[in-house]
Amino acid sequence: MKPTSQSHRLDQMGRIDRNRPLTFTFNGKPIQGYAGDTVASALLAHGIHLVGRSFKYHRPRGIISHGSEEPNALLRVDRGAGREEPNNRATVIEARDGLQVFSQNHWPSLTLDALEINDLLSPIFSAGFYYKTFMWPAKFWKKLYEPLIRRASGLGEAPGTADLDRYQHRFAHCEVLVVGAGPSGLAAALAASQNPQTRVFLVDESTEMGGSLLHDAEAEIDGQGALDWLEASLATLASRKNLTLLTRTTAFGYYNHNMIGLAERVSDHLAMPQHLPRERLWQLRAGRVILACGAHERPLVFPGNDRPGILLAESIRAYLNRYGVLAGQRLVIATCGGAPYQLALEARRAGASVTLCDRRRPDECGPELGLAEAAGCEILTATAIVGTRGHDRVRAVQIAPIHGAPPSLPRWLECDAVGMHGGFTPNVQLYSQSRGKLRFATEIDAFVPGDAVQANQSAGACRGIYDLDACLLDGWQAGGGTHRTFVASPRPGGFLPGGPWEDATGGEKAFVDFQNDVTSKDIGFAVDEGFRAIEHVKRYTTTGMATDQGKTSNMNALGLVARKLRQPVARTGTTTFRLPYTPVSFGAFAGPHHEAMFDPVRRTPMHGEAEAAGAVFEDVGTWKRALFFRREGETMAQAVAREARNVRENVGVFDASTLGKIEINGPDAGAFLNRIYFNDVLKLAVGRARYGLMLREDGHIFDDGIIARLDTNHYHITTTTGGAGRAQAHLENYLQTEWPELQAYATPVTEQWAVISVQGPRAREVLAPLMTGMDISRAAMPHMSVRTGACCGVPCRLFRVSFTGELGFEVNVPADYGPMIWRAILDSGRGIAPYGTQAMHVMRAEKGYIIVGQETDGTASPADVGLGAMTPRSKPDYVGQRGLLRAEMTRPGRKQLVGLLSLDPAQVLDEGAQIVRHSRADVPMASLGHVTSAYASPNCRCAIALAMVENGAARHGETVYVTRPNGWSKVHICPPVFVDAQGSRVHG
Amino acid sequence: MLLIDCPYCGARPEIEFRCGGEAHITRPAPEAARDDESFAQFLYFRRNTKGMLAENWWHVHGCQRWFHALRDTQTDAFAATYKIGATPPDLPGSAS
Amino acid sequence: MVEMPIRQLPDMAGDERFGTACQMCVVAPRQRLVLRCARPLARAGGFDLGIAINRFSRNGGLVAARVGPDEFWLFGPLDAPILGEVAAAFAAKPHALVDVSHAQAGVSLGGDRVSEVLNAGCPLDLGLAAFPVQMATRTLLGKAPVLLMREAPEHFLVETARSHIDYVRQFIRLAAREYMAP
Repeated sequence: MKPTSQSHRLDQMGRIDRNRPLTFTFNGKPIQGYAGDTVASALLAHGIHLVGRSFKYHRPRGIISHGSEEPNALLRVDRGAGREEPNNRATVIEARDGLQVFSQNHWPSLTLDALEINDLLSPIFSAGFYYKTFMWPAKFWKKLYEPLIRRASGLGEAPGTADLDRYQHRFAHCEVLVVGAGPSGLAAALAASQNPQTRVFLVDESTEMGGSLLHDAEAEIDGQGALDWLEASLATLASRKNLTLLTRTTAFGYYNHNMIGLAERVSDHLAMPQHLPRERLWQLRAGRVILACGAHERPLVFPGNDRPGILLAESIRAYLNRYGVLAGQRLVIATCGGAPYQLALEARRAGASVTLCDRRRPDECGPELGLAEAAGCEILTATAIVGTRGHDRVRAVQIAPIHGAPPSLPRWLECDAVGMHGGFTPNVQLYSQSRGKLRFATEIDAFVPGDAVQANQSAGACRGIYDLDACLLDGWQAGGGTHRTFVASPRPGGFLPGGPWEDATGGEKAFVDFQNDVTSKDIGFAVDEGFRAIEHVKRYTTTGMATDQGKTSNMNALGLVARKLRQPVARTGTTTFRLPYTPVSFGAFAGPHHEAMFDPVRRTPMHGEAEAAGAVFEDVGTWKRALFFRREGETMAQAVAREARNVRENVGVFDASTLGKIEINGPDAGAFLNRIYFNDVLKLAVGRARYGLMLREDGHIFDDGIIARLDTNHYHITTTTGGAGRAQAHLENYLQTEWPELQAYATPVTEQWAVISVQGPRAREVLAPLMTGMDISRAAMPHMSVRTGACCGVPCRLFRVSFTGELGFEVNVPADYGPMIWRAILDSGRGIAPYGTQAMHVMRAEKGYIIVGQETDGTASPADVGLGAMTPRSKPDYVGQRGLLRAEMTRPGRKQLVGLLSLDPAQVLDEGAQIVRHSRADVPMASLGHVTSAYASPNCRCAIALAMVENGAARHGETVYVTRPNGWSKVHICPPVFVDAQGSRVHG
Repeated sequence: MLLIDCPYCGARPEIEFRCGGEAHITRPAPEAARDDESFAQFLYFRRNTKGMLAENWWHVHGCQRWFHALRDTQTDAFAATYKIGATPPDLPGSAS
Repeated sequence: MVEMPIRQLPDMAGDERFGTACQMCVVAPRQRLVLRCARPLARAGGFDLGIAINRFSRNGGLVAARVGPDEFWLFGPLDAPILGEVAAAFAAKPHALVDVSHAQAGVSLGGDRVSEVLNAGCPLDLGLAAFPVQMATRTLLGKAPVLLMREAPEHFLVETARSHIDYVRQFIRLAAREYMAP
């Protein structure tokens, strides 16, 4: 397809590089441009204004601005599979060879959009329509109305493939952060960076620094052209080592204590990004922040103000001076102040015909009037636009005198582009995010920063200073500079405040928020319907709630509401500004923390051995634990059954390294543990171990483990895998804040020791030959004891403990020796085989041993789970003691641990299933409790379960019912033990 | 992200810490035969002050010390941090 | 029966280099002890313990890092008799001395962009004024708790739990990637 020519590109002018042409495609059509173009500037160079369809009404829309505040020109960018992104602003996308961009929100095409019918049906779609329509029949909402409305409205489509790009994070610190590198920001950075000890950051969201100077073609600063001054200043800044300069970087969020979030676009614009991340998210802590964010231009609100070809006046000027693009040959400039007169002169010089429609009366204007007349501009004072014509492009505007001017008939002016100027709005978004107070400056009809709450100050246009020399001085002083004045070209001003005036006449819509399709009528309706507070009007009409956050619409909306309520704007207030300032990609927030790097994946020392043995792993917190070991052709159920049988018949080996381990040392070690644990610790002899329960102050169990006494003042305790950190925190908290007088120290050693558990009747046969320095015979080492010595020549702490109910030992060796010991134990034959966590769960349930967090849920006391016998007889104080005495903890009817046997022995219950008295009881049924653990037990040859049931201890023998997805299970309540009820096997 | 002045380490970022809730809540002595209602006060009821609150912080990824802080819950400004056992500093204009 | 103890360290391949920005070397196995004492001695077992919180001292191969008011991490060569000597020195004082030699692993980072690489996941100010040479502190690197020590302006040591070393190394690789030669 032949590329259209750049009919609107001037031969001279602009900062683009005409020696580096490029071509990208828009909706498949090749578009030529130059290095330095944005997609918007290149499209306008081709005379292309229609770039999208509006959110609700699908009205044709064009580019309005030249920066990140753009509400209309949202395009999908396609950089290949896994690299598509909707809703990019054409005014920000840098043009690049091979780039593909597409318009959004239309069907079948941009120029012929069937859904434009919404525009005709707009009375149905006025603000808040979804509160009043599409309500009947109710079930149609979910199936029909909502899907249809969602398809018909909206912006782009979410990408369907995973993001292939890489993103990074960086933390940084500086003494001074300057946000915005326009004249004020540059001056501030020049001042602040004079001291080489001061770390300064200067950031700007645009591709190059300079801000408004980049399109202020004829301005002069201190006797030199503004662009020369800019170049010299940037050279100075670049030479200072204490200065970090970041372009393409948006300060999007102001967080607590002067931490600022920056989103840096690192490599999208590079043809060869190589190893660079696509974007970088900075969390920058600044000693102080200088906000030099500039000001946004306000659109005018008049009927038909949204046609393609109607832009902000200053943006037409930017396209002319910065990109060498003339938006139109017959330009109408609608204004309420003197600022766009500079554009009028420059557009005339570039060969356009210019008509100025100035709302001001001649006596309200300044010298800019005469200059424009002399340059050949047609000037109509006290005149406003009251209508427009043109479908894909504005063709004409209808003008009429303003109220109070001598009346005359409205007439039409032919044009191909309109620049509108409704004044400036200081950009106070970041300042407001810092929770600073705003004050309304009536003389400029805008909110400006008042009292700051965090260490920041604003400089230049973002606090209502618009003259160039004043902006420069303001920035310089904010940066700590002294003894300096600036001389710069004056900027025409004379802004007539007062907000938008026109009520929409006839049926033509006058838009306030372009992106969310909110009209002045919508705002009026909201107030009529009783929404008075600006926060309510915002939410009811959705004005200011689109991705542009109301940058070009908030003040106009506010003005309309204030006028309707007949109250000053200052009293109407403003809505809360929320981050991000402009949209930030999810990738940037995620940074490196995703996929395999989302959390550290923790593996035990024996992980490789387990893998080699066919382990299938499960996640326990961030640890990988072997769930079961699959042999050739086995299902999981078969493997688990084999493993659990083998332990009770022969011997099994299990990796228990993940459980928390803490060493307690010091003269008060025992006394401390005695206060921490529920059960008695003081009477534990050296070389012995016991099961311990940790309670919270309210008496509920929160962790359990083994307490082993290695020496008089030296203990080794274990915790659950998931509770290791919590238990350590618990101990430190009490030691430091409650009992600092105790001389005891808690040192975590979870990762120092690999723990290999050997369980089963042949366990001693396996271990005895490997041990030296320890007598592990039945007489010398009873159940629940600990010995130190060596295993295979390496230091070993040996615990005789069992979570299976069989004869068992836990071999603790320093972690690096774990694999070697594991292999040595497995090599010992005797039918030994590894078993995983699933078999471990089955076997401990067969014995009725609880797992904290499974049988307990933070609301169980020791008595509830059948451990009331552990109640200490005479302890002066321990955590949970007083809590256990509460009436709630001792009342009858509490849930208690029981066993359940299904009448159908093959029916394994669902964990979490509810238990009721009878399946045919009246609905709603009363729950008696729930199933906490359920397994197929190979050693019992039937399904077993543990449950917490009201008054469970008194219900043994009763029949109750347990929910299933499609019915009920009939079960018997029994004591919570299914194998070796006497507990004799563990003493083997 | 808050910047917290640990009494041992100096100014450190919030992610190195864990908040421990309201400070200066006295754990009742074991012999105090308190009724359930006042024990529930100890367990569950907190002032939830709008304004200056004394609270506990744990520098878990730092010195691992607990300490107290006075923080304005509306502005997140820290008025002071002080060690366990130290008396809370007087604030200008505060009622003692 | 196995004769010689075989020590199998966490799987750590050799050194990695990312331009001049960052070189990551594996720290060889060494002894690591945690010493807790409310009123420590100034010297013990060759270690200089008279240091401020978040600083470390070096005496030949013996490094002592004070990570808290009453907590020291002591590092020494595999064959040094530090455990016995320090235990003897503190025998009369309430204390805890725990061997954690196997519980941790470390990498050494050097290069002209080392601070930036670390700041990809460490939230601290790593400028020389805020984090001088001889500073040692617990902090975070991404989601891993680490001990960070500055040996020289462009040389850091990162110690972390054994089960976190893979994550730490991969984190550093990802952060230093952009400095690789094209």
